[in-house]
Amino acid sequence: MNQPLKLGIYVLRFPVRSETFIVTKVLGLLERGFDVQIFAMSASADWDRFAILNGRDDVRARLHIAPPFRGMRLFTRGIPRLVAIAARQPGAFTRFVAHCWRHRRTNPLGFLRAVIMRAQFVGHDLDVLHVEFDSQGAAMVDLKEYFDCRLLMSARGTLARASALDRDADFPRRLYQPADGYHFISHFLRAEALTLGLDPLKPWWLIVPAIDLTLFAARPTAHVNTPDAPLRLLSVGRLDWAKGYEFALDAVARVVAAGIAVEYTILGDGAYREAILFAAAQHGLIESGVVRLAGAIGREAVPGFLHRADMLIHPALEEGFANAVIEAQAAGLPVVTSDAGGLPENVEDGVTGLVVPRRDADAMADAIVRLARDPALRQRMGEAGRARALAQFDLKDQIDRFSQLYGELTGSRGTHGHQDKPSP
Amino acid sequence: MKAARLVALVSIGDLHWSMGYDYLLAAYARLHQAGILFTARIVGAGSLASELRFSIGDMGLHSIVQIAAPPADPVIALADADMLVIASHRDTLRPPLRAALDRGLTVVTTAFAGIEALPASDTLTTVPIRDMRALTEALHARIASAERARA
Repeated sequence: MNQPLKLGIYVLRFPVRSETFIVTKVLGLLERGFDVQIFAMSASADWDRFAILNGRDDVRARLHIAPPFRGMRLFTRGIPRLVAIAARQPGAFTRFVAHCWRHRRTNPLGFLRAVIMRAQFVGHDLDVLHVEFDSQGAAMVDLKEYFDCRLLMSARGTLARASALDRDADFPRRLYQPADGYHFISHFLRAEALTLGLDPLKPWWLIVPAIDLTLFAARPTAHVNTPDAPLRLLSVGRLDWAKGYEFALDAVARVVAAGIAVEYTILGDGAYREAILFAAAQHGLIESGVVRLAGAIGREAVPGFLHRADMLIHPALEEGFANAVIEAQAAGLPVVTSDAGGLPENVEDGVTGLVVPRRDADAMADAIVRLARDPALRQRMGEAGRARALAQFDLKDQIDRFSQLYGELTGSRGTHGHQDKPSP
Repeated sequence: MKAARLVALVSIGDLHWSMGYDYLLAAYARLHQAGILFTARIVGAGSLASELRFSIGDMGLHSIVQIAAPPADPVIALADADMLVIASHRDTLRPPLRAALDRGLTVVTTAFAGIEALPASDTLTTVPIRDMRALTEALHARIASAERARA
């Protein structure tokens, strides 16, 4: 019997509430028999927020956190852990240190950081190292040589916004060159990678995000909004600059000014909360009770909010694909979204929702008003969205595709992803 | 014959959400799409640097808008500019604004709290906060005026 493929999944933290898709993917791959190990830079406080991880000590045993490197924790916890790893596996540790020295001998501090912050990898044997967010992977690419494994990168968001680009314009090429293959969640991201220097001959796979459809039942018939029963708008996502909430609030202010009664709930938390709250207050939308920042909620509570809403608003300035938008469609909710990144590939404009130019509050307001005045259109779009989600965004299908990808990447399957032909 | 220099706009202040640079860049993009010629600098540093750099590229403004590190005295950044532009949501009456008005430099600014304390001036245009259309129109008018004055 063949040995299961040994997959190393690299993320900054695991599990993270806004990265449910990583958790569901890991669980799905384990079910399929892959030997998955998860490597993270720091511990997460979100474990107990995932009901699907309750009782999963087997998953916890597969999670390997880096020894801390900064401040006093380096001395109180980092170095003791390093010593323990070295004592447990002296041969592997020596080989690892030698590897790090070969790659960073001109930068002693970088060498020390590489040894300590990656010591969680010592002693493992991998067929594939999968960096789940390519923008976080620059310090990991040399591990391909250490493991003598295949290196897979995932592009899940734009590299053009990566702060590393401020310091090093050649940063994308240092990611692209050593990768054996690239996974994209949207065609938009591949097109961007090509403009940033990705070799078009590099094998690549398009696997769009997916969700557990069993969590999302079809919502009831669209309700007719009246002044006494306001239109219920919902946004779901991190309170981050990239989500463009200020422009959504500008749009909502225009909708209110047009005489349409609205309630707008924003689910999520994050560093941009102050800016969003300020914008809402400046428009008078907090005082009037139109806008509510409801904070972050558990994954299991999202369907309830979707069922009580009339449409999802997604005003992103930058977006890989947006699981929140898939979930809304799965719940039968029409979506008004910006055209950022992969969103036009996610929402079928005019069919499952309305796609408007990013940073254009007037266009977004017009789209909201159009749907507000036409419950039958909302209903049709909601039904089309649910059908689209069922057909295209099923988690089981996604796990199938990743299983196939890993097989192809390691040569245990015949084909090798998409590979563009060289130009004549 | 020497080519005429384009009208130069400058904005000065921390790269922070409260300065309204997302709106400013969106207004610049609209002007650019309308074929209006100008150059712009944003002089400042801060937490939104990567985001603004991304937006400049995303809106096709690479050849028009530059982000520059702030000099020790921010007022120096006015030296080569034809116009000071402020898109802030909640600014204060900072030295660059006062210096620009003292020099008779054209200023287009959002009407943040406290702006009413400034004396009326032919060189000062105020627009509502978060009103991209008004900001774009004001900039368009002022750029056209600057070009006419040079002709």
